Amino acid sequence: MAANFKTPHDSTGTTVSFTPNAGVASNLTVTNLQYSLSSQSSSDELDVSHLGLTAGSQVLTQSRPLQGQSNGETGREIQVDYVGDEVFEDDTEGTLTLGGGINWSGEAKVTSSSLTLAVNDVIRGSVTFRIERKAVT
Amino acid sequence: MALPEPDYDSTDPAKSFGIPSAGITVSFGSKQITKITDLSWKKRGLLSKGRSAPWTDDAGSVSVTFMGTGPSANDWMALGTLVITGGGMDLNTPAICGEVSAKASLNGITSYSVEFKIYA
Repeated sequence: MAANFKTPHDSTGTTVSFTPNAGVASNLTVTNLQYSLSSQSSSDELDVSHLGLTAGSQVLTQSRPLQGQSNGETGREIQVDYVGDEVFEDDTEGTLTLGGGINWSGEAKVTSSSLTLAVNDVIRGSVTFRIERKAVT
Repeated sequence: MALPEPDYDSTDPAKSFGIPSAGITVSFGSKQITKITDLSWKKRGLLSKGRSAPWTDDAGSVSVTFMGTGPSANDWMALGTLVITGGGMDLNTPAICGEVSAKASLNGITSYSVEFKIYA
């Protein structure tokens, strides 16, 4: 009997929307999404664990001496493939919101996008967002 | 539903596949070497040069890289007792402090390395 709970490989129900800082929100019909984001501050942390720590101890971290810009990019990206003719302008900044299988919302910038028109197929698009660091307040 | 966790517990020797490189302490004479990130030792690596009995002029060495406190360049050629405990690295031997080096990393932290010659 099929289980009625969500399994890790079940991506149904995933929603993606992008609201530019100046413009109209886009709700994408997603066919594929690649998400790589563990911590927005991880790139600013050094692992300073040492051999004196006992097994099972928590990993020690320390802030790097130099910090990225408060509004800079994290280097992490989210790539979305979708069905539709939505066109994303490069360098457009806005709020990206993921829902369903995963829930995340943050500042992002369009780094690349493409549309494909082919015979006997629907119009398909792909857009890549780079995640931006949340402003330090 | 969360996936089942792997049946592995680093704090349980019965479920470990080897000795964890953790809980290691190193001291040289009265100096404690702290925040060690890399440690290795070797003993009597060369083949014997003796004709009538096994003998070598290389008793071995110990290399330590650390971020905290430890020997300085002023300890060059100092003789002391080197004691390593934990992590399956246990060693207790007379040693001489050899080369001490420091390395700074851009947007990182400074680390130090020291090499001891086993004196036995």
